Amino acid sequence: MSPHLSHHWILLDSGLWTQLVRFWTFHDRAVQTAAVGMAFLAISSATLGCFILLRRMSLLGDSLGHAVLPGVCLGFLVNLKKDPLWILAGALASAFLASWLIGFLKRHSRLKSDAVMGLVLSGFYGIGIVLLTRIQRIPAGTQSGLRGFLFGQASAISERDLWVMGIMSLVIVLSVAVAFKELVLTSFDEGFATAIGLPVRSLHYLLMGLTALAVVISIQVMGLVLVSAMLITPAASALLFTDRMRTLVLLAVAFGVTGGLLGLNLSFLDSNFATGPFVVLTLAIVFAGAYLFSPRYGVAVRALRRWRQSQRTQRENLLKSVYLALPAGIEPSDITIEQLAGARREAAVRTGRLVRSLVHRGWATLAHDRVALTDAGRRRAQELDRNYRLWEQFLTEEVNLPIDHTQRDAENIEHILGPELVRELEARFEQRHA
Amino acid sequence: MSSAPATASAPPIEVHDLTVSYDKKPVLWNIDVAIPEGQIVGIIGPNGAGKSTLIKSIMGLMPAESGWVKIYGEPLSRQRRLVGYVPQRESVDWDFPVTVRDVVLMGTYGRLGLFRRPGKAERALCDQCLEQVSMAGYADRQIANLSGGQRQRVFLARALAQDSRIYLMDEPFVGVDAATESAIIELLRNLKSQQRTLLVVHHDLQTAPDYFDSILMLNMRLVAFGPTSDVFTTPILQKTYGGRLTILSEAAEQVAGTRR
Repeated sequence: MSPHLSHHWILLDSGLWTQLVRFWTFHDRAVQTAAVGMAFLAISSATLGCFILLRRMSLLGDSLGHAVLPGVCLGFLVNLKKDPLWILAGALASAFLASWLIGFLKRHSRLKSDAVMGLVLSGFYGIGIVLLTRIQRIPAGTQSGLRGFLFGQASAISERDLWVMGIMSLVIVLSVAVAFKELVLTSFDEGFATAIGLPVRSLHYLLMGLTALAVVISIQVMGLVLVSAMLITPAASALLFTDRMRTLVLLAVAFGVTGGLLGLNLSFLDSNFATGPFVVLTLAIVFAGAYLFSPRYGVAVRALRRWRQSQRTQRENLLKSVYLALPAGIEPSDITIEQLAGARREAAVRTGRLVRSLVHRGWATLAHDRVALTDAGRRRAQELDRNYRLWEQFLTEEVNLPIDHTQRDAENIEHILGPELVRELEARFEQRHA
Repeated sequence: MSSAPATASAPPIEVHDLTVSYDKKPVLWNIDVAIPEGQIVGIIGPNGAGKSTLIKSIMGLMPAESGWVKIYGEPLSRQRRLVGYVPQRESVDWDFPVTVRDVVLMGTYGRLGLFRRPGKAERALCDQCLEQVSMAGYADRQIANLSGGQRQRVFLARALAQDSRIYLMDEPFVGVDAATESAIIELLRNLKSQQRTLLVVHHDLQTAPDYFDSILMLNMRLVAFGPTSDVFTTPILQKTYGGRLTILSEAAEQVAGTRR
């Protein structure tokens, strides 16, 4: 075995930390090759994935991935070697045949696109598996490493593969960059794009063709069963962060490359590991992180925001009730937590906690179980009270709600009204009463 | 303005013997009409009358089975710059990650040509168009956060950015608030005053006589076309909306049957 093919076997001998360092410093030649290849395929797949996702063609990547298997096998059978060019040619031919067939069946049958894609996907994959089984029986086939195409084997890529991957991803990225405006418009509003004379069909085939290319250069590393993950998952994660097309593409690429390299790292921990599953796993973790923690749409972030708002409402309501219970100007207060809790009909423990949060904000003091407001607390309470009254006035005078309808609304809004809106309301009523 | 009309006497839109099928079923039969210049023309008819189909096939979005459409005497493919289009609002995904400005800029793409990016001039035009529909403050908003009326205004601003001689609009008044409705009609009248021609699919019979100079009554075939005062009459309305068209739709079913 040549020295650079045995590289990552060495990783096994050392501890986890050493292995991580070895991987991320990219000292080993094979780690370099695999990492660069991963970056190439992640960049091209994630870029195209954004458009595929927005055009609701997510199943396409999966179909094309499965559909290349017969072509890969035929490419191998040409001279019984894993020649990247023949494999690539076979895979591309297979992918194009599949996408043509998808289009043809869609036009000439009653089936909708999901059914057609499912049919083509499984049909081609079946043929491919039959061919693969035959190849495994012939002597040259057993050692071919063709199985690596199913779930990906990053360590199997050669420098020649890398060249092919690099050129193809350059083609993909440049095409998308040049036709960006056209691709966005046809994806958003196909009717309008046709109306202004854009070559909508050609753009569609361009996107299909580029996707086929991206799939084909990914199969060695990702595995043809799992290529679609690199198309869809980074784009889906990025969509949770941004509402801008350009940012979407850049973020998707960042997610794709990060997830890809992390997965590659994991798969290198053992020489028998396939690469694809680990990459899919890390990409899925990236997506889960985005789903929970994206600032705008993150589920956890939104729950936290709601919780904070409800805490704030409770705290400020308590502040107001302390303020209103105090005779003007008299201090220190005689109110105890017990009394407050009684008035609020809640457990003293709970009131105590809220009082402490007021103290924490500098709005109240607590001495010998007695609550008093600080100047800041008094000011905030006055502000809340005024906001409440302003809103109540607005609802009765401008929205013409009867007074008994306004109470509930006003009580919620007082915590939320921003200074600008308050000023506007004040100005409105001052004008009215002047 | 993009370019001068090809023939001075040719009407902005001429439709000749146009038959259009949807999913092999004819929905428009032998339409013949010439739209005069500088008018607001309404297309009126019941559901399924082929109103949207008519403007889609004028725009070349649906292939005609027979007949032809000419724009100022020339085929559409040579005159695309002259025709602006406002599709139905529901035809696009409003969650798409683009801003209001991005959408309005799309109106300039036809003139820009392939692969050229919009620049300063286009952005200035875009701001001006947003101003005209009172959406100037919304340029950087994501389109998902807009109300129905605001979305319609964005589509209109995009059409304004096309700066066309002819505008085809698919149900611009559907589901918009009263303020937007009056803003739209004011905008249409303003375009008309600049001698532009507008063809508008409309569903509301109440407002139709007030909005349109001419009306095209459609129910799978052309029922009537002419100045609103001549066409918007009880007998013609009854003919358009009445139930005497079952023969045509049954025939369409049979045609479709032989083709499937």
